Formats: sequence, structure tokens, C-alpha cells
Amino acid sequence: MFKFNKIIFMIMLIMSSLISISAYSWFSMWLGLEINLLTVIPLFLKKSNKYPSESMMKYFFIQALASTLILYSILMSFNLNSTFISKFSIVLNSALLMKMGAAPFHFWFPEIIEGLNWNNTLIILTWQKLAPMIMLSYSMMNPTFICFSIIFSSIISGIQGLNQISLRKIMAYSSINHNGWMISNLLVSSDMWLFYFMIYTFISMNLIYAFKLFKINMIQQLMNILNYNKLVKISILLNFLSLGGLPPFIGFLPKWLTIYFMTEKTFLFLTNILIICTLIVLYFYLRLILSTLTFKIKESLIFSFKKMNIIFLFINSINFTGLILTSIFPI
Amino acid sequence: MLNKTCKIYFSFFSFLSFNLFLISLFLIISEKSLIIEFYLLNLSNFTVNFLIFIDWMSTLFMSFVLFISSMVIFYSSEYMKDEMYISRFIYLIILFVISMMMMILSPNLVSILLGWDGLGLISYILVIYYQNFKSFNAGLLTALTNRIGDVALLMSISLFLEYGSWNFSSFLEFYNLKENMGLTLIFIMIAAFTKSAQIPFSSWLPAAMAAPTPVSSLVHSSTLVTAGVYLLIRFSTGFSENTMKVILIFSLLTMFMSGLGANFEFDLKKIIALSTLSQLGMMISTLALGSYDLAFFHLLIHALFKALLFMCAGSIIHNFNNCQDIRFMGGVSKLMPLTSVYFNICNLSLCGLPFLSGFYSKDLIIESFSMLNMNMYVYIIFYLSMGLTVCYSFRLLMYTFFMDFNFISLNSIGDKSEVMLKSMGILISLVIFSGTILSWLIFPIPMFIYLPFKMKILILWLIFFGIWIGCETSKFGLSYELLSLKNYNLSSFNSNMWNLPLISLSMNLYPLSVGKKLYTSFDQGWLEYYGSQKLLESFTYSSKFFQLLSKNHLKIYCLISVVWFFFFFFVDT
Repeated sequence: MFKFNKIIFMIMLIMSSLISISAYSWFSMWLGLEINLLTVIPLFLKKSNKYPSESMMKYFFIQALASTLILYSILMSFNLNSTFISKFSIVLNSALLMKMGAAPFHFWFPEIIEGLNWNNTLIILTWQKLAPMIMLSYSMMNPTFICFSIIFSSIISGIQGLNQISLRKIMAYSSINHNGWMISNLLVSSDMWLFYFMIYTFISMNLIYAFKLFKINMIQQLMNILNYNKLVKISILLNFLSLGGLPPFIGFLPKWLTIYFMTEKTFLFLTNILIICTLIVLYFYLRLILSTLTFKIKESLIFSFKKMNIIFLFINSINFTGLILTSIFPI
Repeated sequence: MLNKTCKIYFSFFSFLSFNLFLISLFLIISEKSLIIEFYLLNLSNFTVNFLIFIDWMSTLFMSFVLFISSMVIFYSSEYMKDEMYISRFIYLIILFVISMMMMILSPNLVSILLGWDGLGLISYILVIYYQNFKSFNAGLLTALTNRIGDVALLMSISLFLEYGSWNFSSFLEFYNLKENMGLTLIFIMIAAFTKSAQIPFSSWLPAAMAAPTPVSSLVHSSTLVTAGVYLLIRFSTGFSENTMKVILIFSLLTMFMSGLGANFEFDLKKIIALSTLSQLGMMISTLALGSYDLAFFHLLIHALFKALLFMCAGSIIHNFNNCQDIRFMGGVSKLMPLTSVYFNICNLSLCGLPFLSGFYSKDLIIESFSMLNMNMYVYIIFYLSMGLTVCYSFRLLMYTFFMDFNFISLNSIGDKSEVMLKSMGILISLVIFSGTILSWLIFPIPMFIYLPFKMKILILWLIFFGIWIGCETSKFGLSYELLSLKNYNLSSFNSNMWNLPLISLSMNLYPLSVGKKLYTSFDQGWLEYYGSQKLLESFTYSSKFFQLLSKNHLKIYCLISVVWFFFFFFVDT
């Protein structure tokens, strides 16, 4: 059924984020964030069960709290030549980290994602991070605080993600890990951040599209459902390796460049922590896909496989060959 | 029916051997040596080049190796007739010859190492050619002992880095001036000792007789083991006096030990292997006394008659249904007259019967040795070993050829195999004549030897004494009281090569036990405890802990966040 209101909200969602990131004054940035919050909440709505409503409420509370603090710190800092004094910068940064779900303020993130459907999960994982991150890049007065957030993000996502069985939560924790990487990109170069963000969005989109298509919610369903077709199985599951940043796939490229830039700017300790904790994340990705990839299960002849379209496979092929292509044809 | 592979390589190798012999004649006459340098790679100031060093020594040695290997290939087309994978066997021998070429031709330590490793590897594969436990153990012993030599050679390569080049031949004399060159040459010495089976490493040579007899003939008598001698000859100008003394003592002991051990041995091939060992000791001790051309001379001649000796032994073993025990033989001279003629010629050449080839080299070595100013110990050991050589040769002759026939009555023994006889017949002419020819070639000016009559005649006395002892020890019959059993410890000590196999086997025990300890206490112990298990445990624990945190109500998180923010509101900066 064609839902006109959802289209409108979607357009407004996109517009509001664009308002935030292209605004000239902090106040209009805050305005964009508020519109963003108010438009994303109706998108969560689903009448058939109560979980989206719960998530909706929680999301509203958290974002409203964060918005209040943003507004507060903006107002408190206005009198001083429109630059931030340090303590309000930390408040603002904390609020922005809370909005994007980075680690010390990440508690709401998996809980809310658990109640949403895959489309909205994708929106929260990717698009909703755009505005706060760019705002963060404008207001980073205190890099030590940001570094703490990065370290927390990478450690907590790795360790807590080990214990999850729901794919939504796993995606949420992996998103927290990628948050760490992206914020560290903001420290060194915003171009690199854009690059990382695009590739992360691309891989998440691939994965979440597949999860939605095959209605996969828990990790054991990966095993059962993906055995329709070997090509599909491989093209979906290798996205996880890409997400973890293994070399032959496109996901390695932004991590590689990030490591390069960060070591160049002598963020050595931070880089080490990021790499080691990403190893843990990579470990639980591998644990997800290894059994599915290695067990030999006969393909069903009855369920002939029609759902997979050529565009999806094409996008996935970019995922596999992207790194090689970029190395052969440098931009 | 000749195998096609055998035919091709037999003719190819003999052709090559003849040509190389002509080249060596040319090089001897013109007193020239060539160094051919191939530039393989040239990057800014770094060049990779491959050197080939052609002088009369390398070409002559190569021509002999190729000649013997062509004969062996010809021989094995009959000997290995029923082998299903005979082409593989032939190819292995060819690979062996190629790596020997590599070793002989290169004046560069790295390319020597290539050939050297090839020799070790292929001899290992050839020793384990028959798939049984004995071959397997012998092969491993061979390979691991040779590996020590490889490591020593690698060490010397790394030490050679100091001199800026691995091409040792061009500035070997210069090395004498360097202080730490001694260490490099000690490593070279160890490498040569492992290949030539000198005393700490000599247990592999008799064990390697588990290989097929053509392999023993080519590999373990005339080529592989002489690689060590050849290496020492190439390096002989660089050795210091003390190193030479060490080499002399070890090689003399090897010579004596193997000569003694051969007198206690009953396995036909092992006796010949021990005699090879004794001759190698003789070559190396000659080298250590300073006359490398004499050592090289003996090396070539020994290669010829030892190869033929093994071929005859192989023929005999074939006829005796793979029985190698000489106590079962006897009277072979009546049944296989031609083979026994060949065998006896070789044996007498080994003993140094005048005007056979062995006479020219051995007599020269002994007499030039007597001219030197050596101490009594070296002198006695050297002469005793000469006597022992004759002793075990005659013991072998008596046992195998002249005593009563001791084999089972159902037998079919005779000179039947034409191909084997032909290949041996070609070799025998060289065994007889090569001594004179080579002595004319290598020593255009005869050596001047001036000795008192007693010293001159001493070797003759020892030879006759050896003949007598050899004949005595081979007496063997019903209700015969074996004297060696009365001194059981002594005779087992001597027949076990002075317990050298025990050393090379028990040397493994210590590293293995340490390895076990390390494995149990580190790999399986502490490293596991503090490594993966600890990681798992701590991850599980912390994951559970964080999971507990996430079970709280949302309002608590909001409260905590607000407290965090309020902290900043009330802190005055």
C-alpha cells in the first residue's frame, strides 16, 4: 500500500538533516535536528505491534534530552563572540554523541533498534548520524574528550557485541564500533570521514536490504534461510567481512586510509586501540558467518530463487571488487 | 630391453663426459681457467649474477661424475628392470647429477649451497626409494646429518657478508689475513665433514646403504661424499694451520675407525661403505697435510673403482636373491667368474696392487706422507689404516669368492645379466688404466721421493700383514670358536663404528625432551592460560558484566546523563 505520509516524512527527514549540516548558525542547526527528530518518529510507526511504539517513545525522550542540552549550550555560549567555551563545548559534544549513539551515551541505541523494522534500523544506523557528526566536527574544542569517546566506543562495542543473538543488536554494536572510527576520522580529516561514512552506509545498506528480503532477525536464521543459493549466500555473508574490514573487500579501504591518516597525525595509541577492538568485532562477525559459509547444505530444488534481483548482485560485486578497482583505477 | 629414458641419458651423459674430458685436457695443457659470469638481474647498485668456474679440476671431476653416472644409468636399466617407476628413478639420478654439477662448477657460496642442498635432498629421496622402515630411518638420518652441513654452509654464507662477495675463489688467499676468517672456515669444515661423513657425523654413510645399489654406487661412494672433499679442496688455500690439524685428526680417526669397523661387518654393502669412509678419511687427511692435488687424484680414482665395486656387489646381491650377508656367500668366483674378476680387480686396486689405478694414488700419498715431518701418532694411525684396508679387503675376498658355497641349494647364480656386465666392463678398463693416465696428466713432473729403505718397505710389510690377518679372520666353519665373542664389548664397540650412530641418534633426545617440556609448560601451559583461555575468560566475564548494565531501566541512563551534564553546569571554569 502506498503511504503518502511516509514519503512526505522521508523527504522532510532528508531536508532537515541537510538544513542541519548546511546551516550557518548553531540555532538553525538545532532547528534542523528538531525537525529531524519530529519527522523520523512518525516513520517508526507501525500499527501491527507495540515494539515500534516503545522504541518511538524512547527515541523521543533521548533525542529530546540531547536537543535540550544542545540548545542550552548554544544559548549559554552565545554571548562570547559566538565561540564555545570549553565546558559548554563538552556539554554540546556529549549531547551530539548521545544523538548519534556513541559509546558512553550509547545505552539507548541497541534497545531502540531492537524494536524497529529493518528500514528504520537503516535510517538510524546511517542517516541519523549524519547531522550530529557534522555538528561534532564543527565544535570539537576538546580532543581528549572525543578520544575517550572513541576508545569507549570501540571497547564496548567489541565486548558487548560478543553476547548478542539478535542481528539488529549486532548491527547496532557494529555501528557503535564504526562510530568510533568515524569520530576518529573527524579528528584528522573530514574528507576521510565522508569517505568512511559513504562506504559504511553502502555496506550496511547491502546487509540490511538482504536481512529485510529474507526476513532474518536472529543469527540462527542466517543458517537456515541463506542456503537457498550459494551465490546469494556468499554475496550476503561476505558483506560482513567487508564490514569488519578485511582486505579484499571495500570495507578495508576506509579503515586503511584512516589508519594511514591517524598515524600520520601521530594518534598512535588511539589507532592501536581501534585496530585491536575492531579485531574483536571482526571475531563476532566471523562467528556469525563461518558456520553458514562452511557447512555444506544441499540447495533446495523446490524453492527456486527468484527474489534476488540483478541490481543487488551488482552492488555486491562492487563490494567485493571495490578495493581492487580503486587500486587499479585511482581516483 | 633397454629402457628409453636410460638409453637417452646414458648416451647423453657419456657424450658430455667425453667432451668435458677433452676440455679438461685442453685446460691442463694450456694452464687456463675460465670464469663465466651471467648477469641475471641488475638493479642500481645491486647485481645478481651467476658464476661458472671452469678449470681443469672441475671439468675433470665433472667428466668423471658424468661417466660414472652414465654407467650407473646403463646398469640400472637392468638392475631396476622390474621397477615400475624406473623413469622416476632415472630422473632422480639425473637431478642428483645436475645438483652435483651445480656444486662443482660454482665458485660462489650461494650457488654451492643450491647444489649442496640439492645433493642432500635427492640423496634423501633416493635412500627412501624402497618403502620400508629401515630405508625411512636411514633416509632421515642421512637427511638430518646433511642438514647440519647445510646450516653450517648457511652460517658461513652469512659470515661471508663481511667480505662483500660470496665468490670466494678469487680472493681466498686474502682471507688468511682476516682474523675472524677462521670461524667461517670452521663452518665450511663442518659442512664438508657432514657431507663426507667424517667422524662426528659418519653414522649416516653405512645407514644410507638402504638405497638401491646403483644409488650406492653413484651417490654414496663416488659423488655425494666426495662433494665435501671437493669443497675442502676448493677452500684449501684458506685454511689456517690449526684448522688443518683439526681436520687431520678427525679424518685420521675416521680412516682408522672405519677400517677397523669394516673388519667386524658382515653386510656386503656396508663393508664397501665403510671402505669408502676410510678412503674419504685418507683423502681428507692428505688434504690436511697440504697436498690437495694428491687428494683430488685419489678422489677421482677412488670414484672409479668404488663405483665398480658397488656395481659388482649389486650384481652379486641380485644373484643371491637380495641377500647381502657375506656369511651366506662363498665360492662366487666359480659361479660368477667375470663379476668376481671385476670385483677382485677393484678390491686389489683399493689395496694398491702395483700398476692398478689405486696404486698410483695411494703409493704416492703414502710416500709423500712419509716424507713429511709428522708425529708418531699420526704416522702409526695412518699406516695401521693402510693395513686395515688390505685386511678387510682380503677378508671380503675370502668370504665371498674363495670359501665354500654357503647359500641355499635352490639357487640360480651366474653371469647372466648382459647389460650389467657391459657397464661394468666399460668401467673396468678405466679402473685399470686411469691411474697411469691421470698421474701423467695431473703430475707432469714426477714427485721426488727420498726415503730410507725401512720406511719405504714398511707399507709392504703392513700390506702383507693385513693380507695374513684378513685371511685368518675369514676362517669360519662348524664348531668354530669365535674369538671376537670373547671380547664382546670391544668387538661390539668396533663394529658399531665406535658408537657413532648412538651419538647421532641420542643427540636428538635432548632437544626433543626440552621441546616436550616447552610444549607442555608453555604452548599447552602458561601461554595457553594467559593467552587464548584468559582472553576467552575475560571476554566472557566482561561481556556478561556489560550485559548486566544494559538490563537497567532507560530512566536510569537518562538520570546518569543528566548528572553528567549538571556536573558541567555547576563546575565553574
